[in-house]
Amino acid sequence: MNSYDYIIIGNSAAGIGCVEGIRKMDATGSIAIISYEDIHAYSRCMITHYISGHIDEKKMYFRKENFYTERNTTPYLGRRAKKIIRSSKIVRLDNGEELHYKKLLLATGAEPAPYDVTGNSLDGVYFLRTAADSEAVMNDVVKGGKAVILGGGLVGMKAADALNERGMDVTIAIASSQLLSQTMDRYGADIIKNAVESNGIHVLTNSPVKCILGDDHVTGVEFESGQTIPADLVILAKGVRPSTILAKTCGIDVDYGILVDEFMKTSDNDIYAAGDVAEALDLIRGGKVVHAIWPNALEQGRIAGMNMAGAQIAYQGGIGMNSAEFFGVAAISMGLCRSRDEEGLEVLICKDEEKGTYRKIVLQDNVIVGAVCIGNVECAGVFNGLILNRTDISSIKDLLLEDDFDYAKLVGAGLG
Amino acid sequence: MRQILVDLAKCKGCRQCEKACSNAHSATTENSKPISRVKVLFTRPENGKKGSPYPMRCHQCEFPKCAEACMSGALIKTKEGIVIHEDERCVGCWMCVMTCPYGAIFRDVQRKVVVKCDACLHEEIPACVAVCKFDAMKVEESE
Repeated sequence: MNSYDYIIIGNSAAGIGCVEGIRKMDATGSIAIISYEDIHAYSRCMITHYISGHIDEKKMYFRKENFYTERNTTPYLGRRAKKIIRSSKIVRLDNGEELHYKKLLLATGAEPAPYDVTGNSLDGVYFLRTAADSEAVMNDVVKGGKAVILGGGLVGMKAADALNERGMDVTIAIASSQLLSQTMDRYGADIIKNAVESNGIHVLTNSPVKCILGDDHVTGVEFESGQTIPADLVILAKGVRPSTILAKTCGIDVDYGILVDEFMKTSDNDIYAAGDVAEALDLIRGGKVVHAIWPNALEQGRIAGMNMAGAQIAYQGGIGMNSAEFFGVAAISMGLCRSRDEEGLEVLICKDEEKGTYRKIVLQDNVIVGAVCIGNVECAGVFNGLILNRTDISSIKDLLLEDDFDYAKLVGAGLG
Repeated sequence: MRQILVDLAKCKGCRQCEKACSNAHSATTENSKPISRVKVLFTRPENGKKGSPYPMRCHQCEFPKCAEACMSGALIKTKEGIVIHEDERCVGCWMCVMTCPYGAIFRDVQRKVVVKCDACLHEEIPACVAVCKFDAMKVEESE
């Protein structure tokens, strides 16, 4: 039986971050990394850029192709981890092979939330999570055909953008009244909605789906309202949920995600978890939460890796945040910034409709807990730092909405 | 690793470093206007006068938030300790802009990529350091 000092299940942001974290502490310990996908470490965030044709498959890789050899890491790609036997510290693969670990990381990520509606398995109906998904969608793109995106989160929006670029007639349909309703406030979402609509993408709000139509291949989507629209291709984009099955079946503590302490350790001393599958400290509200975003996954993976190799580094906690650009409109949101989060908090807003810029700062007792920047996004990172450091901004509060707000204003106030 | 250090007491805010930086990096920006990777910021204005200058450039963080946020792998912390950016991998998602607590990553909107200080690794002396008449910027090489 092959035995490794470290085994990592999952080859995306958290898994790769873990390899890098381990190697900061331990130059020689043996590492194995397992993924059911038979492809070099690639970025799920890039698959819509692949569909749009902006990048080829290799540009989806977010680490060089010599990554594993350079870090003396054995990849088991195209192999699914089927079972973890904690009593003997063994991971069993789908081909029956067993691997022994000293420390194990579960970076099993997330999977598309199921979409329980008639017609969801017709040909031409896709989830969009993996490189294989993007390849399948790409092969089904017909210029001039009609694409319907069910869901208005970041993945749905980026898919709409990509298919529009491929010459399809794209409609985004959402049950709620607002695009990006999980991450953006209403005003910011309306700016983005205007941008996508004026570039030819249709947006149907308040439109819950009744069923997806078609015999073998999709032909359309029918809404609860009775309205029907034709479709040659449908993307199901209702968000993701943590892939916890391996963790659950081996008996470690799982809530919505795998519960981890501040060292990213699970209820088993030799098993860690990180990334979209981990329910970890929430920096703003306390308690534990799954913030399934790329930066948190990489950071959690790195911290888990360093701790697996003997460090004692605490995770500071994560915040939700996102950044994207739609048709020239750069949009960043972070922390508590949705309209429904604002109750009891102080909100500072400035907007310039002509320039298309918008900035919102959400404060709790003079500490920034959320921000939205649209158009002029240059200072978003400074706000982010102020959130993470829980800085009391009383002395610079009058500057936060100024066009030229930047890090020097912190330095001048002794906060830098 | 190579660090560009600033002596704030000596900086006059003349912004020659910005010009020198743009020029030094103009060969790599195709047809678009070269953008400086150092930006002279100013503290709060006082009595109607400009505040004190603060030349902002990448701090080469030990655990760079920008590189951890970079979903395309365009930003990488090298073994030498410098955070480098590969234009051809950048898709202009601005995740790094969102996470750099210093605001030291700048957008090239025309090319839809970011630019950042590369410490002029291929030059003996970084352009900003070489041009500074007031000796406010210096380069330090350490293990």
